[in-house]
Amino acid sequence: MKQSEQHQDLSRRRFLRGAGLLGLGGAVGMVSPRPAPAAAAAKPARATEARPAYDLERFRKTDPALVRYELAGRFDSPYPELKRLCLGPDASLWLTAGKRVVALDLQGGKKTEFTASEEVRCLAAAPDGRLLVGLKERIEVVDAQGRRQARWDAPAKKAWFTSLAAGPADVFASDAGNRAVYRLDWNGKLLGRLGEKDKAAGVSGYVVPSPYFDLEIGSDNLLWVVNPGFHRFQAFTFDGRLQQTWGDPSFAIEGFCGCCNPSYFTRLADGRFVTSEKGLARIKVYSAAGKFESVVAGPEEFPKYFENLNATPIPMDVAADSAGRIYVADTLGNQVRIYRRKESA
Amino acid sequence: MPDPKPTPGGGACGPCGSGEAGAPAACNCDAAPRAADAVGADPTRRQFFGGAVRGAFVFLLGAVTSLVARHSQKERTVWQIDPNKCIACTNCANYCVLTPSAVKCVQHYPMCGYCKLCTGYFEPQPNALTTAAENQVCPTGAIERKALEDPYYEYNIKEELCIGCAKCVVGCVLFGNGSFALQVRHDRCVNCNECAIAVVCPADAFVRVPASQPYLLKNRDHKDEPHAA
Repeated sequence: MKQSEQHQDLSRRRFLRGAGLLGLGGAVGMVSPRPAPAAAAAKPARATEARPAYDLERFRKTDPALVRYELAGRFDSPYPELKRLCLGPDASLWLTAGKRVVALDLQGGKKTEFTASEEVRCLAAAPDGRLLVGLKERIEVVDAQGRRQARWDAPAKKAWFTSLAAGPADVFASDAGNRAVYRLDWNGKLLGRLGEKDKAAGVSGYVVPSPYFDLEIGSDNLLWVVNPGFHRFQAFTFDGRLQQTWGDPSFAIEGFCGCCNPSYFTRLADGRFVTSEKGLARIKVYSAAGKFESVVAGPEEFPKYFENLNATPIPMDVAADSAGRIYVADTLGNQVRIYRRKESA
Repeated sequence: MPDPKPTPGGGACGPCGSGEAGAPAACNCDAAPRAADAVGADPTRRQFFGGAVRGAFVFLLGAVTSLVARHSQKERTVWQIDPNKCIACTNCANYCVLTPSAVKCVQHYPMCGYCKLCTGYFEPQPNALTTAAENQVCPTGAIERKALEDPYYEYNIKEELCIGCAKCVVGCVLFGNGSFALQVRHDRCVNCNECAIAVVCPADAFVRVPASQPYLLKNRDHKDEPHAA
């Protein structure tokens, strides 16, 4: 009987000791850090099947014979988020970076600046020195010192201004949100809409898959508009009659790649077009009639554009001065690049 | 305890309430030491600490119980790909324990441009904008192209054919609006404790998400600004 009691006592003690150790071990296990998954699991030694890649390599190199421009200079944007640029009549280079609008001289020295109430989407300099600043749903008119003179609301709801063009008497604005081009006077009064779908007149209407929808008034006194979904330029009289079209979709250097290009363009003094594309970052020159002429900068000039799929930068705006120099807003490098035609070209 | 009865000519004995006349000190009842037990009387130090310890124990027991209950009720999680981190490297097609992979391309229709020349559907330089196999990016023909009003087309993923190779995702993100994205489809994913794709994912794009919200769709603001189409 006594032995049995002792046995029972010992068993209980052992049991309690064991339970205590188990509990202690459990507690330690609970509080100890988990091993890092990468360290715990080596990469599976599994043979992978070769999968077909989206092959762009052949389009990322430009035939050197086609490159007829060279880098003449570059300077950093004074603020991050460089986006748009345009040249003013007094040799000012206007830049937008977030909410800021900055006027620089052509060497990059700051002349003046001001801050808009929200992010600036587009801008255009008028021949008299005034500046049009496009916000998402509003256009502001400022003088050469950045003082606001007028503010116009968009003529339609859900507007998304993407580009502005300023003539002596007319202002044109492209609205990607409504796929429309507005003609306004300098009081902000809507005078008309251009390029809307009209089967009878053979006008296809605008196809704008993403908010890159550029326009500019040419020396031919026509309004040139990119119809990006069709990879095509369209020229309209100011009262909206379609006059010319040119442009073809192609990944080849002569065409416009992707699903909506060119993103931006400008005109040289002699009427030639300078175009900028997204996806394959390339700046090219076309004749006034729309024939491919040369390359300013090919994709190899912007290698960072392909480093990370999800860091694909916004397209690069372009402007040109009367001497034929081309100003490129390198949005990834946050700098302005200036290209000039090679002497040998 | 009976109420002490006041006597007309003298004070009553508080503890025993005998009501005998005379000074309370004259009462020899043994009720006096138990006066502290009476309701409203001050507790002894031992009673105070004992109560405090019991209260703290009960409080801790409740807290631990609630924590355990909370932990046990934690929502189940599942694997998903963060489309804003995914670099479309093709590992999803190769490393899943299932064949074909549980990772599929999904179409986020609000972001799609419905383009005639869809860079997620067509090879970079197609011979023609037709549905002929040689013009298509997808190696298994898993994207359906349907004409809508000219010039718009709708692109749908046939998941039973998709192997999750992400070739179409590259074309769509690079040139288009990025409406194609890879996602783990939970009607087939077996939710391994350690996802074989997550281990090799070079972009750390695999994350655990609540099972009640198992998909991560792209934000329209993701790239630079909302898309207009």
